[in-house]
Formats: sequence, structure tokens, C-alpha cells
Amino acid sequence: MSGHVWRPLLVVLVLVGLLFVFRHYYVPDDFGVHAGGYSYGWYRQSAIQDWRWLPIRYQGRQTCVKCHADEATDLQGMPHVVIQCENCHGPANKHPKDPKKLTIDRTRELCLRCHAKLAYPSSARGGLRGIDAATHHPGEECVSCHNPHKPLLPTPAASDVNVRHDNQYCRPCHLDQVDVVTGMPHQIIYCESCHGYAGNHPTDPAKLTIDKSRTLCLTCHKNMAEHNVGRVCTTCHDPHKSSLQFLRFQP
Amino acid sequence: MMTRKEFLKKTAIVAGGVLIPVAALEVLTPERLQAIQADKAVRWGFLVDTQRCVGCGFCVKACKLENDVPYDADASRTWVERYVLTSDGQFHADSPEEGRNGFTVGAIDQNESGMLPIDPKTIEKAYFVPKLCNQCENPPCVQVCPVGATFRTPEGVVLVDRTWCIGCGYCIMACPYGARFFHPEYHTAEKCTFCYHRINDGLPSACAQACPFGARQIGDLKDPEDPVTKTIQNERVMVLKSEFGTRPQVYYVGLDWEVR
Repeated sequence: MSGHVWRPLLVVLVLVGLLFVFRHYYVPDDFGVHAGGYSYGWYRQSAIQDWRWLPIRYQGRQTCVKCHADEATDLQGMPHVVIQCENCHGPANKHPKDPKKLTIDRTRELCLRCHAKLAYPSSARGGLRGIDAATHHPGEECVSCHNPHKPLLPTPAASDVNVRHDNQYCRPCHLDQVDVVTGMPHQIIYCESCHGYAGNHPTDPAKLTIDKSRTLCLTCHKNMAEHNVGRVCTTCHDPHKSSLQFLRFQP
Repeated sequence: MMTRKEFLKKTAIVAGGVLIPVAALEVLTPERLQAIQADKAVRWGFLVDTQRCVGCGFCVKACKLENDVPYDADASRTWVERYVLTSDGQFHADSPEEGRNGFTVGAIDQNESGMLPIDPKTIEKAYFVPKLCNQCENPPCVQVCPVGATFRTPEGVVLVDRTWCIGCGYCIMACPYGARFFHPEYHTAEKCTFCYHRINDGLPSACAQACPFGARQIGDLKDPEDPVTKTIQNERVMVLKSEFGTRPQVYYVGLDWEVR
């Protein structure tokens, strides 16, 4: 065969040879056919280990309750017990070493993930208690009224209407009034002391009867017995803002 | 006219030229092939109960944070879809931000067409469907990879070798489920790994752990006592797009015909 065939052929052979040399050094030793055969198992074996050694960020409730037993007790029997701590508190990573403190997501948006009312008949979502975010205290953080660890409001036994409620029981609906009284001297008074026992309000009774009588105020304010005798105190005084602006109308 | 001598010479050259590359290939004996395909003790499978999903999106949030998928990027290894059938026969589906922030409004996100308000009274049925990589027994994404950068592990999880991936995107196109995407930071193909680093440490995947209602469960399909295996064996389950012959290993309870 003449030279014009051999020369290019030689060049090609050398290139092919170089390719194999390059391949030998470039391709890792563990690259080849593994489990799965040629179709699905043609890979670098140590790539599996690359995925194996990633850090675990979400540690799970079992890890949290080792130290935070109180919170775990709080949640017992509550509907929120099914929610992982880290869904709201953020991934623990190596807490308490790193990070030392977790950043809690207290946003309204977090709660709305489940509690924005979507009346879906064929989904479990339809059965969740939900609110219309546009009308239910827009802008407020849910956690300012609702305790996410104990979301169920205390419901008194129907037979005993004289069980006194904590003021926080009233707050979810009567936000404005309860917040106004907070920080005022009257914050230590039960709402029910003046407004009457709530019972199963708003179901039963539908409306509470407020005691506006002078006698009620004089129970404590005995030295005021001679002050504007015969008048109803709340005519001038706002019981919710009793301290600084104790008069409804500035003279 | 070719002489006998010339013919033999040329045949030898051609045969030699063919043999050199063939010799460089690994030749597997049937015994060796059987050995490397030997049954592993574990086959990871996933069970999605769409009846239980409420669309809270905690799974997507957990997945993104666990696996370092850029949180605000429009890409996720797992996502939640919403399907709404209204009484006028219209079917609406959406997955705003892959369901990362949950579903908090009734209106359907139509991307650039804006939000489509839905009158709750007209809803015939509505439900959520969590999606993730199906970890197919016959993964088309693996078949198309030109460099061997993606593969199925002996436990049946399809992984990507980030150091080997050239970013050609064939696998992203090949996946019938749209489960693959480009990682915005690594610039390689990215997909659900069933949280390979967690399941091998005895933890459930981040999404399965984050789900408050047990709508997502991961299990060992080779363990007949595994609750996931039991459900798949004893209940009515379905896989997505079975017509593709990919043999997905993510099984769904309560799937409807509209779900693709």
C-alpha cells in the first residue's frame, strides 16, 4: 500500500492511542459498570458516597423533645402534635451548638398554610379549621392570640357556667378591648367580672349582659362612694382605659 | 481487481482497527454481571396519599432547606400541585412557587395570566397532589445520559454525579414527570434523591418527616412488614404515567384521572 494511505492512518492510530492514554488518567478507577448493568449502572461508584455524606439539617421531633420536654407536654393531645417542631422553628442543624438559637417563623403566612379556609370537599384541607385571612384580624400575627402549642381554646363544661375563663379566652374575638386593657390597672380584672360569665358564648349565651352598675365599681373604689352620687361611673370613666385617660371626655 | 494478498492485508487492517477499541472495552461475563446485579436488601419506595394532603407546603420548604436548593429560585426537587374541578366542567391546576408557601388563597395561579378567582360554591372537587422524582425502575433520564453522570443505585435511587455531569440537559428533557431541573448554583442536573443521606441513616426523607398528616411516606419495598409496602400491596394504588413503561416507585393513593 502506498504512503498516502499509511500516513493518515498512522495519525489516526496515534490519536486513538492518545485518547486511550487520556482516558486512562482522566476517568476515575471506580468508573464502570456497577449494579444495574450497562443500562442504568454505568457510573463512578464513589458518587454514591458523595450523596451519602451530606449534612442532615432536619433532626426531627425525637431530637427536640430530649431537651424541650415541657413543650412536648404542652402539645400532648393537641391537634398540632402532628406538626414537626422544625416546621415552625426552622431546621435544627447542629443546634444547640450551631446554631445556638433557632429562628422561629411567627408569621401569619406560616399558619395560613393550613388555616386559610379552602372549602375543598374532596380533600382533607376542607376539614381543617380555617379563617378568611382578609377579614380575620388582618395584619395581626396569629400567635399574639393563639398559642400554637395549645391551639385549642379552653371550653368549659356546659353544665357549669360559672367556670371563669382566662382573659386570653376572650382575646381571639375581642382583640381590641383586651389589648386596650392590657397595661392598664384593670388588666388584672377578669373580663367576666363585669361582662358576666361567658359560659359557651358565643353559642350559649349568644350575648353577655354587662354589669354597668355603680355598685360593681364601688366594690373596689370604696373611697369614691361620695363622688357624683347617683351617677353611673361609666358615663365618664372608660373602665378599659382606667389609668391615663380615665375620663371618656377630657374637660 | 483486488489480489488475494491485497484482500487479506486490508481485512487484517480493518479487523485490527476494530479490535483496538473493542479491546479497550470491559467485557462482562454472565457470572460477573449477575454478581454486580445481586439483590440488595433494600428497595426504597414512596407512598403519597393525596387524600391526606392539605397543601400546607411544609414538605417543599423542608426539602429545599435540607438539600440546599436555593430557596427563592423557581426550582424544586419536590412540589405540590392543586387540582380544582368546577361545576362548569373546567379543570384548573396550579402550583404557585412549587407550593413552597402552601396554598393560602382559593384563586388559581395562572402564571402570567394572573390569578383566576374561583367561587367556592362551584367547586365539584379539589385536592392536592405532592410530586417528586419517581425513582423509576427503568429511568429514561439515566438511559439518555451521554457521560454516565446519572445512575440508579442498588437500592433503586436515581442519583446525579455532580462532578461528572456536563450539563447537557438530556435527562431534564427525557424525564416524563418533569422531576429534573438545573441546579442554579452547581450548574448540573438536579433531582430528588429520596434524601439519600437521611434514609441511609434511618431517617425518613425531609419531606416525609415534615408532613403533618402522613401524606408522604417512604419505605423499603423489600420489607413485607413495612407499612408502605403493606399499603402498596393491599390497597388500591396507582403510579403516574404508567404508559411510559418507566415503572415508577412512587405510589399514589387517591389519584384522579386528571393528574398527569
